[in-house]
Amino acid sequence: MLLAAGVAAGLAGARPLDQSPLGRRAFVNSRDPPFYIDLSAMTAARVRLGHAVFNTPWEPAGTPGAADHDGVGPLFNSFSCDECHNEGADGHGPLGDGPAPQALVVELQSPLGSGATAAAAGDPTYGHVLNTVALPGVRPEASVEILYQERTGRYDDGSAWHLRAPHYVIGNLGYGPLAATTIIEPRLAPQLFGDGLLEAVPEAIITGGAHGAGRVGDVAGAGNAGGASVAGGAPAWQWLDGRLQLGRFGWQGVSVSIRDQTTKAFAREMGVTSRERPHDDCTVLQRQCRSQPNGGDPEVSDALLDAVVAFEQWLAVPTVNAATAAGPPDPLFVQLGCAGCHRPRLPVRLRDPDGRLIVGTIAPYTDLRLHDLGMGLADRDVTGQPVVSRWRTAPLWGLGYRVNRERQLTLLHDGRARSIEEAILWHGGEARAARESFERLPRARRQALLAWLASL
Amino acid sequence: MSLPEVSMPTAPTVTRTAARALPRRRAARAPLPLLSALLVCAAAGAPAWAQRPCADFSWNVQHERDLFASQPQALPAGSTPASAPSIHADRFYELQLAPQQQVHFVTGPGKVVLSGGDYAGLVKLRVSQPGSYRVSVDAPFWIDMVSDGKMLATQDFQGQRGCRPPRKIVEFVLPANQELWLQFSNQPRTQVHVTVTRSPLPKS
Repeated sequence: MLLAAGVAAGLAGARPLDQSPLGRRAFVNSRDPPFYIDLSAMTAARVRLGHAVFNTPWEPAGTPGAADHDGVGPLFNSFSCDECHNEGADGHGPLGDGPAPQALVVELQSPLGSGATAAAAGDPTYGHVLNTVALPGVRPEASVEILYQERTGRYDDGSAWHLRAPHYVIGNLGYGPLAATTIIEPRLAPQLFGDGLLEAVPEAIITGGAHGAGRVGDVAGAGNAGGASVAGGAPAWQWLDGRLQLGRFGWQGVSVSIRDQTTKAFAREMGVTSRERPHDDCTVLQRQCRSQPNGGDPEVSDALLDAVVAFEQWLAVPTVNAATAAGPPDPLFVQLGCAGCHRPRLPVRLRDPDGRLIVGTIAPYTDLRLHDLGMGLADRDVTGQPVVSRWRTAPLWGLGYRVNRERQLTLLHDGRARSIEEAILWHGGEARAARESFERLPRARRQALLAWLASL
Repeated sequence: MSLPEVSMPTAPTVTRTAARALPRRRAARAPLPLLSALLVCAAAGAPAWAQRPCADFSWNVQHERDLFASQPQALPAGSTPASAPSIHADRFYELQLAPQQQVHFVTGPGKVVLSGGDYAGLVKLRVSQPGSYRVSVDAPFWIDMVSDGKMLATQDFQGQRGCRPPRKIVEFVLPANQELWLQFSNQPRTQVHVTVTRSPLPKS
């Protein structure tokens, strides 16, 4: 409570924008996503440049006419940000059995010991991401295929439920075996909408102070302090630049800022270096990769990187139902316990493009903390052993846009859930009680809750 | 009733066949695993997708592939609306493009990228029947369909790498008997191969 009061005192005197939650806009044209704030002329120009960088397919090093956007690869997954995060939206996940779609990237991680004091390492040979595409003359790292096992069952009221469980087949390893302890982490490109506002949530609100601070490798206990999540979980502490910093982005909160996430994606998924990340994902064991020409040092200039970060920073969250976007959470959502992690409201504190302080509230439906959702969703290592996996609560704002826009939903970290209902049914671990409460609801109430979620 | 908290079969299966990088002008994609090397739990025989000639399009694109295998009609694309030639559905074209900064679009283009080195062009089109149509190209050009001065929304799209052309297909719902403009942009290639075909019903 004292901590919450301290945070409130720090916000006193700032200029509130208005009382409605910030960040929501109707998307009239998906190719021209709006921003949640009026931009000055200079910022608008930088954002337009950033949008162009975001859309631009990067070329191999030395391509004529591409001096400011060359250097893709030699090992990579996509040519542009837009290929996976189409106009800032979530990536298209797998529709069924077959090759993993481009927007589903398999990340790799060496296990992190408790009390670790350094950032997680990737696989010793393959790095942080399995790069499935390569420039001519270089071997791709692997191919990834997915097979699904369907599961069906019935609720107590006799209605049927369906789930599909993924089975990943990693083949054509181009550089020898993966390490036996490497963790296989399939990750679908998330939406970028509202990330600037998530970045503006005060750290103390997410960490909850001493009781919820935790350390890297700790499993957080339950508890509440200072207005933080009542459902427990843990902050996503990450080692970056020699110190612990709070993660907010990525399915497991592995990135501490939009810039951190963007430079990682440039380096690991596109093979494009930046000043912050001067190396792509080729390891010392991939000599062929490391000997290829590059597109400069760094390959993405500070100016272009600043621009693309600015584009991401001011993106609004699409609204399909203004009343739902601005209104209180559905009472059933709260009653079942969902709101314990999918927090309906968070405070934000940020500076607008003119440097004026803005204080407001957002309705993201996330606590930005990590939670263990059970072994059904856990990642596995190369030998198939499950690894305790904690997930940053996925923001639910913008779900309505996805429901309206996508032919088939592909939700959760690997796109396995084909509906909001399936996503709920995969919740275990800390969320098991809430899920079981959902299962026990009469069908009509389940449908009503799902309809509300689909309007967020 | 509660769903069992069991571990799902998500164990990755790692095979160790040698990779063969396909020679491509731009990039190689790791080929599909050899059938004999696949370790598939419970499946009797190879999965269906492993037997298709190209696994990346989920649509039936045989008609488009047949057109792309035929001899194209070479045409210079227009660099202004007035100079744009007409094309017709169910034919295969090789369009010569101009440097993008020299092209005057009807509107847009719909996706802005960093400029320099890209080529673009315009063609005109009319269809006799309203409905869903596919525009198929052999490179990841940005494709706009313009009607009455406004860009038509994309109905759906797919792309693939590592397979026979086409490379990208975009679907639009087109009105009948109206002048339409197809705009190609944002690629450093001086030509594009294209077909316009009716989308099959139901989509397969």
